[in-house]
This record gives sequence, C-alpha cells and structure tokens, in this order.
Amino acid sequence: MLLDMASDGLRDDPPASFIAQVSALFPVEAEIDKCLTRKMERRASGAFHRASLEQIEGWFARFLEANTKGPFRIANARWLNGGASKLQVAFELDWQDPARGPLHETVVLRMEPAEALNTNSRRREFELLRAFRGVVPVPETFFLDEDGTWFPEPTLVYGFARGVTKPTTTATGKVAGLGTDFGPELRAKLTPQFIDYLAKIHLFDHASAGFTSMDVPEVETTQNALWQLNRARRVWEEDTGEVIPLMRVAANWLERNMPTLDRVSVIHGDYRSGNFMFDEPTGQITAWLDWERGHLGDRHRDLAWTTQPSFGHYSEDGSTYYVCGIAPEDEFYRLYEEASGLPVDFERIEYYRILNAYQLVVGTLATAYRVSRLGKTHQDVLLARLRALPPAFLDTLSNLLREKL
Amino acid sequence: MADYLENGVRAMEKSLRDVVLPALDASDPLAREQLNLAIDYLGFLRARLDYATHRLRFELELYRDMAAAVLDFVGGALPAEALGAARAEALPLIADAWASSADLRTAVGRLSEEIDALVACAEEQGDEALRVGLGRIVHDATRHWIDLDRAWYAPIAVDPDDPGLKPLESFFPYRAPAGARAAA
Repeated sequence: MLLDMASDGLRDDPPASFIAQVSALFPVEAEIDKCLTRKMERRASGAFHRASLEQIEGWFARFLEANTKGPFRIANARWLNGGASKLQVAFELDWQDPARGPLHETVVLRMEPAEALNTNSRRREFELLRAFRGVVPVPETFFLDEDGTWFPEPTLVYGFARGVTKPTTTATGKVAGLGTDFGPELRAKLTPQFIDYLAKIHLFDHASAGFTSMDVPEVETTQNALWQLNRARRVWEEDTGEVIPLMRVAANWLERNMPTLDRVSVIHGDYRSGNFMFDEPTGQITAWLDWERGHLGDRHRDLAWTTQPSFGHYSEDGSTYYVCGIAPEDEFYRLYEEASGLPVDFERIEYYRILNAYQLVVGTLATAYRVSRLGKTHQDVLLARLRALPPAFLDTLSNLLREKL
Repeated sequence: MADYLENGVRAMEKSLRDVVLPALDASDPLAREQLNLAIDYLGFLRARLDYATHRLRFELELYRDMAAAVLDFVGGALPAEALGAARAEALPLIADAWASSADLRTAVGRLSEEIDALVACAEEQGDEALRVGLGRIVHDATRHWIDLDRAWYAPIAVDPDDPGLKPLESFFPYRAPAGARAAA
C-alpha cells in the first residue's frame, strides 16, 4: 500500500489519519510505537531552541526537589559535544542517595531534542544501562524523566564516563568510530575486551532483568526481523523528502527474506568503535555508551552492524581489514564464537547487513532531512551535513542487493 | 564576469572563521562545532553552486531513462499510464534551457513516484517475473545516480579518498550508462 509519496506538507504537519495509517502499516514494538507516534504528534509544534545552561540547571533542580530527599547542590554545568542525537550537559552533583547517603558525582544529563536523528526510548536506555551495571562497563544511572515532566523533553541522567573514544597519538577518522585506527599495541589490549563484552551482552539473561520497555520476539519465527524492518520502513514513510524506488525494492526483498530467530539476545544496537571509552595508558575499556538502539532480538544484527566497512579500516599496506579497528573479520567471528559459544550464521549476517544499510539510508537521508528542515535539534547543521553519508550507504545497499535480485 | 554569489559565500566563510569563531565562548564546544560545520558547509555550497542545475537535469534524464526501461518492460501488465504521462511531460523541460529548478525538481519527483508506484504494484500482484524484472531495472538504473551522489558529496564525505569516486564533471552532460542487466 502506498502512502502519499513524498509530500513535505503531509510530513511537516501530519494529520492523525496519516500517523495512524503508518503505525498500522508497520507494526513495531509497543515502546517504539509510542515513541514514533509521539514524534509525529508533536512534529508541527515548532522548532527546538537550545536552552541556556542556567535554564537546564533550573530544570534539573526542580527534578531533584521533586524526586530526591535532602539537600543537593548542582555546580559546574558544561556543554558536552559528540554524537548526532541528544543534547548533553555535564554537572557536578552533591546529593543524598537514599541507600548510600551523601554522594558527590560527576553526572551527564542527556536530554532529547524536540526530534532526534534516532527516535527511541529513554526508559529503554535507562533500563539497559541499569541491567548491565556490573556485567560490562557502563555508566551508573541516576535519574529518568521519561515523559519530559520536569524537563522540556525526556531526559536521562547518568554518571560521567572517563576515558577517550580514540587514541590521541594515531591518525583517526574525522568522526569518532568511523575508521578509528587504534594502532597495534592498543588494539592488542582492546580486542579481547571488545569481543568479550559483546559476548556477555548477547548471553545476558534478559528474562530475569525485568525489562518493561522491550517486547520479546518469538523464536523460530520472523517476528524480530519484521519488527526491525517495520521500524525502518515506518521511519522512512514518516520522514522522507523524496521517493527513491530502490528503497522500495530493498524493503520488498527484506520482507520476503526475513530470517527466523534462533535465540533472543540483548542487542546493543550500535556496538562499534567510538561508542566505548577506554583508559589510554592501560587500554582498559571504561564504558560502553549509546544503548539507545538496544532491543531484544538477533545477535546477527549486532554482528552485521559491528562489521560493516565504514566502521573499520585497512592496515597501512592495504592487506588486512580490521573490524572497528579491532580485528580482521574472520578472526573477529572466530573470537566471538569462542567467547560466546554461539554460532555465527553468515546468511543471517548477510540479511542484517542489508537491513542495516537500509536503516542507515533511512536515518541519514530521510530523518536527517526532516529534522533539520524543521529545526528540531540543537545541531541542525550537523544533521543537514549528514546528507553526505547516504551515497556510501546506498552504494553498500546496491552492491549487497545486486546478486539477490 | 564577476561571480557575486560565489564571492558572497566566500566572504561569509571568512567572516565566520576569522571574526565570529574566535569570539565564541571557549567553554561551549557545541557552539564551536556547529560553527565549524556551518563554515565547512558553506565551502561545499560554494563548490556546488555552478552545478546545481546540472544535477537536476542529470536526475531528470536519468529518471526518464529509468521510466522508459520500466514502460518497455511492463508493457500492459501494469497500469503505467501515469508514468507514461510523467515521462512525456518531462521531455519539454529537458529541451527548455530556462526551465526553473522548481519545475525540474517536480518532474523528477513525479517520475520517481510513478516508478515507485509500479514497483509496489508488481509486489502486490505477486507476479514473480514482473517483480524481479522491475527490481533489476530500478537497481541498475539507480547505480548511476548513486555514483553521481557520491561525487556530489565527496568534499564533505567521510570517505573522500574512495578509489571508485569519479570526478563530478564526468557526469555532465548526462549520458546513459552501458551495462544494465536484462530485466528478464
């Protein structure tokens, strides 16, 4: 069924009928449906304007007054940059933890803009960070304003993670994580940790974690693949500014070839260099960040994401490609199988490579256009400039599909 | 003859870089990042000013060719009258050196939408040969557009050293690429 093609008017100010139609056409997890519906219902509400640090500090104080007991002090508010999605501010916070008493923490306040490059759930991010505390290095979570009651938009507060995302001494890509070259010494220290933490995430017992923000897909069915495909297709329909027939050809292929799920794993969603921090002198990973694309699903989705070419680099002599700057691809899979005990199915990886490329085109071509067109963030120029990325993702999508069609 | 648009954009870049950037609050990395990206984008815009209409004309001709291949392939198997009309309406625009960017953009949009509608229609009908053939036509014809898009955004791309990159000028004037697969 076709929607109203690429009308800017329709997508800039979507009527309830359009919002309902897209939601019905592309069923997704309940929490994702809630987030995407909220996005569309608020789309015509105007542009986002970055607040001052003083305003944000005031909202934080109101939140703490309402949600904590005892005195608190907020100090040294400062902007953090990095990432293409959420607005981030660091604070020094003195407060009374009910269980631990008076505490001093450096915290990061992570607030959504009016509309982001990735529409997703702060509750989900909060739950995942909390569940993985002590399993893999993650920042400690402190507060959640899930619906934007005290802040203008949904907001999460967690501990400040120390470390760097890329080495200070070797040549790296322009954007953290894209082509990061760790160099041989650091690579040797990071590789086992990188693999081991991915295995731990995929082996995590999700059933006992009490997640409320994630639906559990049925094994031996294609439900998981359908949810993930539908999510991307729905966002394309909600955000696109142009029709590219190849995207429909790709979506049709993806729908006809959905793999079944053999095992439900926690999926990080953006497991790559640039999304972990490490202590440069010791090479110890100090925090895994950016869990916002997390879900319960197929580990091959993470494996296909981590191994996509744009996140890695070739050795200087051009002979060896390093996945995320970490390990040659065959070694990466071998080490992952050893660490997790889970088999790697390359047909499933191939499928998720195509789905990932499709999703990346959706985000960088459709969403980045719509969000920057409507001035919905604190970094619209960054989003508009992301238009330079889809050619590479479309190239990948086209190359992967060529032999399938 | 002086190029006052290019000159103006260049002046904006210099003013922002030399005057505004140093005056920014050093404790606001987000502001500095946004300004640097804006300056960078102005440089990209300046490099593409002369080619904006070329690109639209390329896209219009590419989609006309894609439409011709689609129409030839589907014959009477799908309701393709709207695509035929969109293709016919695009022809005078190609011949019209004074055609506006808005008209060119509308014509490109209409062609791509009608092709997309036929792809959807073939999927719904469930005719395997029709679906596969249309998919191949769209896939192969889009390849040329992707190559153009890569060249277009190369100055601000993450992979500017991509060995497969062709010079932007090589795409103009539009020439249909050779080597598309047979649809069936």
